[in-house]
Amino acid sequence: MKVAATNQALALLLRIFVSMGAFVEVGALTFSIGAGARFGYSLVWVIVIGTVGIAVYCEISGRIAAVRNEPLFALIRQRDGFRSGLLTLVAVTSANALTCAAQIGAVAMLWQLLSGWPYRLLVLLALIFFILAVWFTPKEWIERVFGLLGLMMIVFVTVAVSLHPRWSQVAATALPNLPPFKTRRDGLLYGYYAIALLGSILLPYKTYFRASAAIEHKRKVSHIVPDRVTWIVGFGLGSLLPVSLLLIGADFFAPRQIEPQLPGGAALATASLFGIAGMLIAVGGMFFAFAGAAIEMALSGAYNVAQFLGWRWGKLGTPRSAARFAVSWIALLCAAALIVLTGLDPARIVECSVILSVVILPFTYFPLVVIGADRRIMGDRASGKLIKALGWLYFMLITLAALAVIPLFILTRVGKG
Amino acid sequence: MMERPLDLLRDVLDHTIVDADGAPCGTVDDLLLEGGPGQLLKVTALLVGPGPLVRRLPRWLERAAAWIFGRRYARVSWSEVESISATVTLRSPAAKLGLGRWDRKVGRWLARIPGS
Amino acid sequence: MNRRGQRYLGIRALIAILALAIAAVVGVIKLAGASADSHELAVIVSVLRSDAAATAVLSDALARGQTGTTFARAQAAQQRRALDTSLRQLISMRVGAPLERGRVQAMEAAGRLDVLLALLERDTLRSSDGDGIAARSREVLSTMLAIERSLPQS
Repeated sequence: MKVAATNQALALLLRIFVSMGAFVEVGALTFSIGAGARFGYSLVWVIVIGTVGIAVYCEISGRIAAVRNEPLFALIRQRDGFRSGLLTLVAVTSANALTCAAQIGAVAMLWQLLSGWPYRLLVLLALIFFILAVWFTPKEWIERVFGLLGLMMIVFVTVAVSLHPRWSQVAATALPNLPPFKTRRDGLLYGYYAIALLGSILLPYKTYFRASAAIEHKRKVSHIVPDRVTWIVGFGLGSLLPVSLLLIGADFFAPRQIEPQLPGGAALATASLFGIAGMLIAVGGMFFAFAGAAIEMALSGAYNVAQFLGWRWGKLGTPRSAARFAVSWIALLCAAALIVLTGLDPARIVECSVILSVVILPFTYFPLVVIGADRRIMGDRASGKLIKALGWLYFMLITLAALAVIPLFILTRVGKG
Repeated sequence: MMERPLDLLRDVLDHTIVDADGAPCGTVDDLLLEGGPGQLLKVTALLVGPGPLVRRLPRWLERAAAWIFGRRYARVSWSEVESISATVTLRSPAAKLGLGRWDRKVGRWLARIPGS
Repeated sequence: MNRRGQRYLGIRALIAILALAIAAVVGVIKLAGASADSHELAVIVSVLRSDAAATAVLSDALARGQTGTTFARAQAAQQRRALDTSLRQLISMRVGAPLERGRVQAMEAAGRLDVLLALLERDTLRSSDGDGIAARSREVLSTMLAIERSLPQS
């Protein structure tokens, strides 16, 4: 009896750590450091808001999966019909492909920092690595390996603390605030960074992937509460990573007037403080975090398409048993790699992937909020008043963000150099 | 078969089809209704495949989609439907009804690769 | 087709509203108008400045043995790619005596940073905050060339 309880507690702890390690991908990393380098501590509140938001949406998607045991995109199609569902599917899949491309490009860049080999070759090697890893590794081990090793990113927390930030100021910026701006362009840029940072934390693949994973692992209604604990604790701890990166931007890069746009910059800060060992841990942590994200994005895309079209799906069985699903995630990885191989500047790919994600955020979260609160579908497990209110509040927020991001991007574009 | 009225749009159309072995094998992409003005309208079959789906797209998208995905479909007689819940469950395995052909085809192709 | 149809119309309406709203927001901001030109120079200066600073941090870390040479070389290469882009923008701007595009592109293709440098020095470019861009770029380029030369050739 005791063994079972300990096992359960360990399993919960494991899931919390995996949630932590998988919290940051290259978009969030780039914009966190950039926000700190540009605006000091003042954007911490965006990270706080984003973390609560992703926790809310993951709660909804996890609950839908546990109550209905039906995949999200099947529910979307049943409820909204083929055409509207297809629109959502196309939006989510394109965002998945582009963000996946950003991760693959970042992984290739990290490998280049270590080996000095040509970038394009490394992109191909990364693609082969991902395909082989997902093909041969059982699902639980993928999540565990990449999620837990991604926890090496904790080195950034150490770096941030070692830089002796002014904690009282950091605490003050955890609440929404607006620093004084020197020029109007600075104000626009602040808005742009705030939206991009928010979007990078609210990436839809997190919610959709978890819903499918929950069904595969047969999460039941009894799991709803422990899963809630997982989101809250895991994401809360995970949010320490983007906050630390922001502090590094503010305390290391800003005084030197550097605005790093590539992951190597983050490793440079670690190297400066902790030498080669620190640099290797940082690069290693980033690799596992980005790689894990790339895999989840590809699988999420495949889940969505297969579930929408009624194909067999699932990673727990052999690839042969869900053939079109397997082909889908391979195709998504290849498409992502192709995007990188076109030679587009990786920093631009990262930026565009976040922007595209922000634009489609309303489309991806609208079904979630609506289905989660639909009594006909969820019975008495439909979203309570608090979650419903939060869900709609965040929906309004992301709609405003989606409207503003492209104008802001165009206007601040000259500011990107 | 059903005790209360069946809402075709809400409970049948666009739902995932599950065969006798419990595996998904497509979605209800359209319904075949038979009858005419003044006669009884009956659901005679489920239509599964890209054909009916492509017809539901907006006109400008339809031709390109049809060229890429084709217009074929499988006709599953209504008598093959075992039960309707969240999914539409059938009496027979998918292969017998001509469903999920591509999953099997691609599966055979993948089987050549080690580790599948 | 009422329940499903209504929801479908709702999605269509959502898209239409989004499109109109984007157009409206862009229009408003455009009318309020910030001229891009005068800011471009200041921005490019800041990019050059940040690359110089990053390069300085890198060479400093290298000198103290904190970063491996492969790392430093790869970092320097990535920074140089970013720097080339901003230099290209700088050169293609018509400030002072315009430079012929074809000549510049040929120089860039040959990777002749030092030649670019000489070309820049001929034009006294001033930014809105008074810095001499030629002076700034000279500082950056010299540091970049120095760091590349100091790395062991393999």
